Amino acid sequence: MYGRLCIATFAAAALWSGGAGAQELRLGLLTALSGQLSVAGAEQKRGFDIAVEQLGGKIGGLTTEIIVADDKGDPGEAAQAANRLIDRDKVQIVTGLPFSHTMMASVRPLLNGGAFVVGANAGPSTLAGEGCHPNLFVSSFHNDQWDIAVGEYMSAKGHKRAYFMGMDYQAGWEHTKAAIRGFKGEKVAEVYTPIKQLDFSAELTQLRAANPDAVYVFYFASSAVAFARQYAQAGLLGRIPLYSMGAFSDPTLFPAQGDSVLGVVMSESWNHQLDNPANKRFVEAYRAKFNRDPTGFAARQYDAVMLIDSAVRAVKGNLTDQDALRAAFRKADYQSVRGKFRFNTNHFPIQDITVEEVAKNEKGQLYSKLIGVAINDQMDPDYQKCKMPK
Amino acid sequence: MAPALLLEQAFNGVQFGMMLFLLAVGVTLIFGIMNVINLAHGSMFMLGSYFLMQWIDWTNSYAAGVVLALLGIGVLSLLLERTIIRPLYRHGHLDQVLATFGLVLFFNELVVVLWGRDPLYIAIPSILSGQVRLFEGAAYPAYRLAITAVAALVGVALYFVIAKTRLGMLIRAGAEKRLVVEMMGVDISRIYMLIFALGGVLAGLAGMMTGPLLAVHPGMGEPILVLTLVVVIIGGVGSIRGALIASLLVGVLDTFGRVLLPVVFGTGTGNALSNMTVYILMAAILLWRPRGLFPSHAG
Repeated sequence: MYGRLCIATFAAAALWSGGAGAQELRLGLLTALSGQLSVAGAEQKRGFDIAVEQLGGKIGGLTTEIIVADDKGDPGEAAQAANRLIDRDKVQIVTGLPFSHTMMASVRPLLNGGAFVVGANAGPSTLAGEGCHPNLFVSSFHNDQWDIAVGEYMSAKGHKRAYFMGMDYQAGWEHTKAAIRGFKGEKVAEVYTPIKQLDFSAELTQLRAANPDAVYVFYFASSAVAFARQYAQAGLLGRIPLYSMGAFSDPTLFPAQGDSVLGVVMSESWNHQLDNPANKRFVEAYRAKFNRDPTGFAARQYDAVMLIDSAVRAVKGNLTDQDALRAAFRKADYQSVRGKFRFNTNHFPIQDITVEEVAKNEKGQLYSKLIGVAINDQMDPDYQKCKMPK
Repeated sequence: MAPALLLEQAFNGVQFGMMLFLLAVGVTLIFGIMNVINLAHGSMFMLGSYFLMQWIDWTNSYAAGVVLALLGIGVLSLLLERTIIRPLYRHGHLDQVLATFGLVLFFNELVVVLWGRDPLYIAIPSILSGQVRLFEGAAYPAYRLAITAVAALVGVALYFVIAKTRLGMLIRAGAEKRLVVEMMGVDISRIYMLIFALGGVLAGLAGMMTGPLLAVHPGMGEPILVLTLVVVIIGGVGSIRGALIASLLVGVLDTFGRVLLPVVFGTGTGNALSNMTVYILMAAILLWRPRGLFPSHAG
């Protein structure tokens, strides 16, 4: 009996000290470390690790406890993991949140639990509009941002009839519809396939029969590998130009996609060739550690950690003053790997949208060649719908 | 829709159906004859892809890769039967589901440990990388034609073995009345071993042929396993003929559902319905024939 009481006392003391230790940062990384989408989650983790290493493990100058949680790319798992981060791990700031559907499931439990959330990849439109929140910062992009640019780029290239395909979930609809909005010509078809579908034979047969001038697709991870290879096998690569967004083809997918992505044009908000000191530092550190170019997933997660670092530093580690911390996040006073970066009133980025093309370097290896900036200082279409409380 | 397009979509449906058939044979025989539910069948599909990739990498030969990968899957299946599956014969289906699901998790993690999470690449043999002009305006990928042909050949060979050989007779007898076969003095455990290995090898073969089409990645066997179970239920557990007909039915229906339903009902409803077609078919067939199209009399 006495022993149990002792344990209970110690446990209570430990909890109390954990909750009250204001000079310690408890940072959660919520991402997909298993499942079909874990390619992206693993990249986020790599970007995260490099940022933490460069900061010497002390984010914002504070002793930092990092809690990594796996959402398995599944909304149910994401909600559970979010609740564990709040209830058990008592995190103050959470980052990661790679996909729109898992983010929608996990963001409310985190915000309601009092944590700040810094989304490092997904940018669902609802969170930019009516669903915006004072403690939610999405430092990556709004789902529409990239694809409006690539749609406009397709028009600028003189394509008149385009075929649109995407994955059948929130991000798929938003990215694809944004590309359609940006494109001025005729939409031949708008097709959505289930997230887990990897065989596109039926869809590609329809596509070839429709004979469009250009094709836009939203696929990433394994589905992007399968789509690209089947597009090439059907003899369409090089015959009908293929457009997408940055996650369709990147250094994690190059080995599996091979030459089937050569010449694919994609929009992004970052490229490893962007010429600024923060980006050089990140790309060099990444290459040294992993022996290849980083992806956008890693770059955005690296950036998010640097943003968190700047905000925590600005409030001198006093995390209990949420208003001051929020104001510091809004300023975004850090060197982004994207160069120019600032937050809009809805806490979504105002940033340049780039266009890149998969090309081969002199050694015959695939890389994302920066074509240029398509749109300067782009704001998302939803920020006016957000009534952000002061 | 133009007739040429319909025909090409039918080709797609048959190709998908034949892949399902290769998987369904194993599941239906293992369940029908051994009365074992084997969820790890999808893992054999996945490992088929990974083994092929690895052997091609080591030997630089596609043909050698295929043979060695098939051998590898066969040996692994025999080992699994010996160590994990055999003690499960006397247990209920729940224990079998738990144990084989455990195997699924184990193999997924093993693949991550050995080859990492990133999707991997299997090159298509260069002679099959082009397209074949089936008829005017339809350039069909040669590789898809080739794997359909291989699957069809395997189907024919299987039919021959089952219908014409002594082993086939024992398998058929086992599917109908397992106990009687045992009472006739046949060593049923050897037949079990053979069936389990055969099922594994066919699933591995399906994985090897699908690998270059899709992405080779951890967990790639699960989505297709679900459809395989649907095929087995529609066809009737234990029946190879049922598996063949149900595979083609599911393959063709799924393909045309994906193409036609969004056209007829609009994108939203059409997509929702096309995801359901196969399951609606299953429910309808079960209402009409609760034990599937060709029920065997086992169990």
